[in-house]
Amino acid sequence: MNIETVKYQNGASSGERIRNQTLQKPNVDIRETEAGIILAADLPGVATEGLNVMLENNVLSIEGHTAPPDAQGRASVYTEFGTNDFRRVFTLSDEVDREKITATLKNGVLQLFLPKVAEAKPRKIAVQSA
Amino acid sequence: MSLFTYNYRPEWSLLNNAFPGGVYDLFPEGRRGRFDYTKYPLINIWSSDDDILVEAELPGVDPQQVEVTLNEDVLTIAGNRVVDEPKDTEIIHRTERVSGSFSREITLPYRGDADKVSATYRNGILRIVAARAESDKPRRVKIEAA
Repeated sequence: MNIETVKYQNGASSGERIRNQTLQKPNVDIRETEAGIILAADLPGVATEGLNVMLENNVLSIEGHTAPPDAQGRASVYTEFGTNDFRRVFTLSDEVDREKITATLKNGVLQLFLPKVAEAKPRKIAVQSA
Repeated sequence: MSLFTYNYRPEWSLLNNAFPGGVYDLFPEGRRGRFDYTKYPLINIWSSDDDILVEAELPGVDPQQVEVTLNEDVLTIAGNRVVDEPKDTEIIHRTERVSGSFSREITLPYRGDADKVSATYRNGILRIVAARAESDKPRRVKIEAA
């Protein structure tokens, strides 16, 4: 996974969103069937409230926010993973039926189903013998 | 030039053994520059005098299939992460998520009480709190004037 640390200038006047977190690209599995495309993304620590899936023109973006863990006053002894936001962006083709995209978030895994428009599905053409 | 040679190894061993996995393990990114999958799941540990909190990054598992066991001062997290198997008819574009069975042993700073371990699984993060064993708590010794 690549870790990009996003530095934010004081962009309040330009309306930029400011978050003081590192940014990470989540791991995804992408498979394509005849019906559509199945995308699964690992987003540990992201709850439904912190998840943003947006489609703008041809660009699909997945954003997940996590909250720092509640250590309840205990001292940190060993750290292997940090708190970070997730973001990944994909460009979709015209084959995807934008109205029928479904998304579910369970146990930190996002499952997206992007069905193909009817014209893009493979169709068997009847052959007549002449 | 000094008349004596100084052997630094004992100091190094002290420092290296103070961290689970060794000193270089604190910086996995610098060591190889990429994610090291020999340790799964990734864990964070916090401790206080009374209990220890362990959080593991474990998205997409069935909590009933994960085994958390505490034996004296060793906490074990084991299980199997299942990722949908692609069928033969499907075209695979990306495969980045890991799957398979895992087992990780964590040595705690003190013995835990196996009856007082709690584990919750939320949003893909497994959170385990292990309370310290009563027999392991430090006891104040009264000094007699003799």
